[in-house]
Amino acid sequence: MQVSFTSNGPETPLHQMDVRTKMLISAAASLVVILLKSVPALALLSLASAGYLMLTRRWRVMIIAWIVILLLWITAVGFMNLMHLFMPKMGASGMANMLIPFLRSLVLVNTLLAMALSTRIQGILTTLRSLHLPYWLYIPAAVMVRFLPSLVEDMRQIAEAIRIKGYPLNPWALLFSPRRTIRLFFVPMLFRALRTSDDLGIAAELKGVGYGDRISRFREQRFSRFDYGTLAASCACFILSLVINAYSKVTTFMGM
Amino acid sequence: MTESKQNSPYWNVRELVVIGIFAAVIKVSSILVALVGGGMNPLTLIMKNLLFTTLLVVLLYKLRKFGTLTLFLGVSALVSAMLLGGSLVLIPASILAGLIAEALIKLLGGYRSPAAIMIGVAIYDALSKLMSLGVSWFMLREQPKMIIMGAVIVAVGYVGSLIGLFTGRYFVKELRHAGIIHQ
Repeated sequence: MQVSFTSNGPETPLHQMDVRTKMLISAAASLVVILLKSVPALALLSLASAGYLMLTRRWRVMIIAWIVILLLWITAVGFMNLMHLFMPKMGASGMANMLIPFLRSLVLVNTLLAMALSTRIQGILTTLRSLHLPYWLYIPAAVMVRFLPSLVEDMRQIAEAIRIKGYPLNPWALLFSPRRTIRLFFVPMLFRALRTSDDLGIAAELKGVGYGDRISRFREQRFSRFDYGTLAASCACFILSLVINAYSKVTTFMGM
Repeated sequence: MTESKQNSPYWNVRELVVIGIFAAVIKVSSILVALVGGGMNPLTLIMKNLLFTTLLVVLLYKLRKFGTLTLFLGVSALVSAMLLGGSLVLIPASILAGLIAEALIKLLGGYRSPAAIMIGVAIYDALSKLMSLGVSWFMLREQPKMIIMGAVIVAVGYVGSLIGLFTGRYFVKELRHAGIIHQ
């Protein structure tokens, strides 16, 4: 089974970082961006999170993600101006106010992308074990994580079978013939998944999985110095942005 | 009640494996549809939501037990947050919507009633979408008119969810015919 399907890039310090650290940073960023409403504070967090994302060295993915966010923002601004033309009351209210939602999304995408691009399947399983979860939450989560790569492989095989049968396999054909897409693509996938779940369930039951009192750990997971350093730097950024937010009386930026 | 029944846990391993596998199938098919369809077009939105509710209905028919929906949502959210970059703010909203839907299923006759399952899934999807819109309001509060566009997108997606309820029942019939779902 493929060890990782989310990350095929270079090995970076972010790959060595504990998944819990990355989760904590993402959770904190999700909460802090909701509290912030000043452009300079959000700009600081955007820059810091962009630096954090750059640690992954996945330049192509990064640039594509940023271009997509920029395009979405331009589309939103365009639609707001268009609405203003037809319904003056519904129009945009200042460039800074349009910029704030964009910066919030940018911070979130940066932190989430850094986590998604640098986390391996094995890392997730180790983290799941170290979270001391009850067996009824740990077993399905571990099955889901382990099953994802083989499901992707199954889909590749189903796609190949569809191609061999002579059906077109392009986005246009798949979207505009939903009945055929479901019949050829998703029904075989569902059948395969149900059969696999039966097989895995029987195998797990025979091994006695879930009957122990608690899950024993082969190796304890500990935070490294790099984890502590990154957490400290993230905390400093969050506190600084909250201070800037508290002291900036205007939410505008450069007179916009 | 026999001693072995008293000692047996509420969830057995087979059921937990089914939940894990369905969580993976639903996640992968949603991502696949989004990638193939290119995101924000009505057809992709309908198809993505249709598949989600179809597979959710199949799961709830296969595992007719109180807590299945909430456990599925919890597992899915946990792995999404760790692996696929799911928004951590949306997780409590999704689980709360799941709990409300489960309570409703229980009130309407439990998992033995097909109508209760379908109504439960429809209510869960509507609630989770409304709560997501609420979270979006926090993100876009300086420009609340943008929520109108979000609401339109969500409404289009919900049409797909409603169609998915019926395709889900159709799938269940076929799976029963094939002997894969026994109940």
